[in-house]
Amino acid sequence: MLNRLARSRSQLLLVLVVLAALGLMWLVEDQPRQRSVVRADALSVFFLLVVAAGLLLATREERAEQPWRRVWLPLGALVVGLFTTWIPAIVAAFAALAALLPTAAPQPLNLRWRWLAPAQRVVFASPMLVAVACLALGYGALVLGGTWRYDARTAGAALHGFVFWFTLLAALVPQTRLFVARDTLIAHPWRLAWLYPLVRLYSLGPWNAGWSFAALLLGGAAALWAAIAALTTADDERRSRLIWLGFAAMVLASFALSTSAGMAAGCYLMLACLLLPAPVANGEATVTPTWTLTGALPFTATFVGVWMLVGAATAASMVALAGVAWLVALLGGLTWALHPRAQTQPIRLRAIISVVLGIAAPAVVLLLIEPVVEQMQGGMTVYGDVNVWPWIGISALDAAKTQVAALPSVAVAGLMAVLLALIYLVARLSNAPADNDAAPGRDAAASDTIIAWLRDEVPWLGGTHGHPAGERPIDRE
Amino acid sequence: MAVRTAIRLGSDRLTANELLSFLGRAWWPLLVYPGGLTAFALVGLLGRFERSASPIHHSPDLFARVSAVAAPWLALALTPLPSVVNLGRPLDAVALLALLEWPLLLAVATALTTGDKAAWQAAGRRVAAVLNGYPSLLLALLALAWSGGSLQLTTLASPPDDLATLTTKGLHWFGAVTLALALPPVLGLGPFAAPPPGDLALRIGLRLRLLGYLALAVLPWFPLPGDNAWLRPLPPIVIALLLWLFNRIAKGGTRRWAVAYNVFAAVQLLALLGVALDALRLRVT
Repeated sequence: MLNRLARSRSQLLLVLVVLAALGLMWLVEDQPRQRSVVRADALSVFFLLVVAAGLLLATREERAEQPWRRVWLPLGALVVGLFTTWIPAIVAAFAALAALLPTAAPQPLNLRWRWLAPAQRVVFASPMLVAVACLALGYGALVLGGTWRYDARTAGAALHGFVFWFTLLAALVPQTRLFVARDTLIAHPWRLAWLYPLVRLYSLGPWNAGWSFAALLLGGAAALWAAIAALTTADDERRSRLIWLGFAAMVLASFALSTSAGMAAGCYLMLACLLLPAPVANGEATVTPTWTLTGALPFTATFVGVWMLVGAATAASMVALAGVAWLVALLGGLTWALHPRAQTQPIRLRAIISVVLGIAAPAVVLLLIEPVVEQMQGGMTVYGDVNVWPWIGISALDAAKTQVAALPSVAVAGLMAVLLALIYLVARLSNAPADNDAAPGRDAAASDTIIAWLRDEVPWLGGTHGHPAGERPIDRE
Repeated sequence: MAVRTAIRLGSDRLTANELLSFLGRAWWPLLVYPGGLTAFALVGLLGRFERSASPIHHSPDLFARVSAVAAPWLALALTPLPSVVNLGRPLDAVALLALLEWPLLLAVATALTTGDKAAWQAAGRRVAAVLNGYPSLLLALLALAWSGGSLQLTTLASPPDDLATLTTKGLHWFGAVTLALALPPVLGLGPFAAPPPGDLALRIGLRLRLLGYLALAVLPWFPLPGDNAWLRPLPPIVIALLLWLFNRIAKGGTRRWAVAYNVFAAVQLLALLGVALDALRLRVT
């Protein structure tokens, strides 16, 4: 009872934080508010909103142990990091975040070696130390260059390769498995928070084309690798981690495009990331429509996110990145189809949010993302823009303002609703067979055999790990 | 209100009028041509050529059955074929492909929950076939998009004008030809064939998907006959005939064809890389 009370109190407070972030977004929509080193601009508020909303969704499904330590203290540290322009304070805030966050639980040690436990803790914490050290080096170089505040008039002069590479590393390390051994929902929003120092570099000035290209290459390659690996792995936990990595890589690639369309895609993909499933089974098995979380069907947030990246990449003439993102979306659909009941969480709420965010994408872009893009213009190039038709959908424009991709999400959803109703009516009138009440469970052996066979039959997936010759179960008929 | 420059508002009328007029104009494409009556007449025709379906062990739930038909139907209705009412807000190829793939995903997901070995073997074949087809398909569409500078279907359908460079024209027709060639594995024809699913809705969905892909592949060829209305049905008939011939004639193991399609995709990739390098060289010099 007390536990439930504590949990609902946490959630209530998180709802308040989300509402406060929305209110702040409304306040800073036109221009950032600043008093000395305290500065609230749309980017800070957007990150606060993403992390708070992610925590709210996560704590609903997964009990946060020690909420003070796992949720509130890190959130406090993050608020300090997000709303200050003083660079040492940002580094200190992220160091505090790293120290407070759930790292891997140390393996039980043999009694004889118990004295090694503190050293073991350090080893397990080291990925966090790596991230903090990289951030300290990157931002430290800014300070050494004479830039103590990112809003200083001459801040751009201190932005050079050393700063960029180390900040990029600091953003990357938390997205990998190194960050947490056991993937949990609560870890997801904190991972996204680590992208803030990297995106903040746009406030200092435009990125060098080489940095953008390297980050694009890294993001695109990681997304493709993760999508292929997620399709061919039989382990549920590994798959969900890979899906996360793929989306995080696409967020990185979107931000690296250095265009308004890329910035909008990155922000939208961050929202979509919050809806991705985590493998921790914490509730009764439900037959939930997990297709809403795959990027397979239009009208879902995950699809719209990937679509925005494809549009932004095409607008910037990065055809290869557009192709990679497109393939990742198609592979994501197949991954879901091959593991239709792999998720056992009660994720209905996130599925509904995904559909609402997907259909209402024009409103989301206009209200939450547009101020961010507007205020980060200093670091953007002109190769890509987003066009919002409030009641119809969104489209991507290139530098010549030609429409390169269009998703009339609201309009198409309206047509889809008409068709669904029509077919439902016809099916009812023609006495189609009734629903099966209890669907039989997923045949795990079937998925595994098909995956092993796919490696054999699809050369580009890599035929080295296929079934031994003579054991081709699908050909045996 | 502040002047917005970063994200542009396409319409300054923040009303639902535009949405309502869009929905109002859509009834002909949805119900008569290219969706609706026309599509279902062709679906019935395709059913005559189809192999016998596997027995039904388990039907998908109602939403899956209804959406398996609705998604490809919508995709077909929104394809800008000739003589189609212009809705003003065309789809792009990314959204179109997602709508078309939906019945396939449902067919695979349903097969894996049946507990029937023959059904999941068919699902495995289907997944392997599309995986072998996706690289070629996407590269072909990217070549078309690159030459036209846009992923929108209306741009993919229109050939470059006379002032365009030779590379742009070459890229467009290279994309158009390879798009048609990429269809057999994506549609599961010939050596890539798999028994159709038992559930009627999934079968109809898969046939609509086939029609949708056919319409997509035909799009770049429609402008060729010009004003000659009599020749307009020629491109779809020729491509459909070629696909039917491939379905009947192509023999041999799936693996051999899979390797062939992977090599084909590699050639496409090399061609696109060549064009990219050429463009880069031109920009540098």
